[in-house]
Amino acid sequence: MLFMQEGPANTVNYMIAGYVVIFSVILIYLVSLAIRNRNLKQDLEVLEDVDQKDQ
Amino acid sequence: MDTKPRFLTILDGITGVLFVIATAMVFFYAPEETVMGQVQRVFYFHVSAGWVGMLGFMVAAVAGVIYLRTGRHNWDIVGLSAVEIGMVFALINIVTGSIWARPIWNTWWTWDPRLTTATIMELIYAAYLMLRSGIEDPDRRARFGAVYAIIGFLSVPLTFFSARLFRTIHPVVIGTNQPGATGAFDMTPKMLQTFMFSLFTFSVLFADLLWHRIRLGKLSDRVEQLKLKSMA
Repeated sequence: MLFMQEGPANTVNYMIAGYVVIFSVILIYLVSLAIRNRNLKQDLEVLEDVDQKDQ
Repeated sequence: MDTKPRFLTILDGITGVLFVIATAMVFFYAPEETVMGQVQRVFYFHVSAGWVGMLGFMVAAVAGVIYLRTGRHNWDIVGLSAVEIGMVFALINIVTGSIWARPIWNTWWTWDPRLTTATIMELIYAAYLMLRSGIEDPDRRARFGAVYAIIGFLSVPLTFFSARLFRTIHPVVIGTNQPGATGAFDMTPKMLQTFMFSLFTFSVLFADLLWHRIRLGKLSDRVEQLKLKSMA
């Protein structure tokens, strides 16, 4: 059907949906990296304190 | 903890600027495709995400080979990092392909060879993460992970060539389309420039993310070692 019509098809909603997915997934991954980094740094601080006390 | 290298901060900035330019080119520089309309713009980042996915899996396989030869744990971290990033971008590739397919193929999904092999590839690497999470011993986990990443890489060329070797409706960018391919289009010079720039931007984004993920992996290793030390 798409190829029988005159002029470009109105598919702007699908384009928006596509780019919402792209930006959202990348953003979620970046946030997950930041959260994991923060949590590991907190763990490291605690463990280094414990290690120093043990010595 | 090591401070963030200056070049990584610069790379973050470069990646951000490139990403903004690539997005602007997709929406304002590349012309609207005459048949498919605006949804064709998904193509630029859809293919770039697929490229980064496959690049990630290739890096993981190479890291696996180097780990098995040298036994250096850093290469295990590289492999895991590359798989994780590859999976994120392969997922983007699959989902955006499905969104593009709805108006072009009149369906969200079909078990076409390209779509099927891409999904199998993603599932193979999901199993890689599951395999790793089930092994406690770090050396054994790294060894199994390396072998799995090498064998799993077979799914990458299979996915890449599936649209060229089998009867498929999926169009290809490089090479000749199958007779039944639906949604193929002739790229104008501006479209080609936008496409190449998007590929370049996503490659730089991959390098940037990989560096960050490797640093995270090293931090995680250090925490794991201290935990083991405190328990001993």
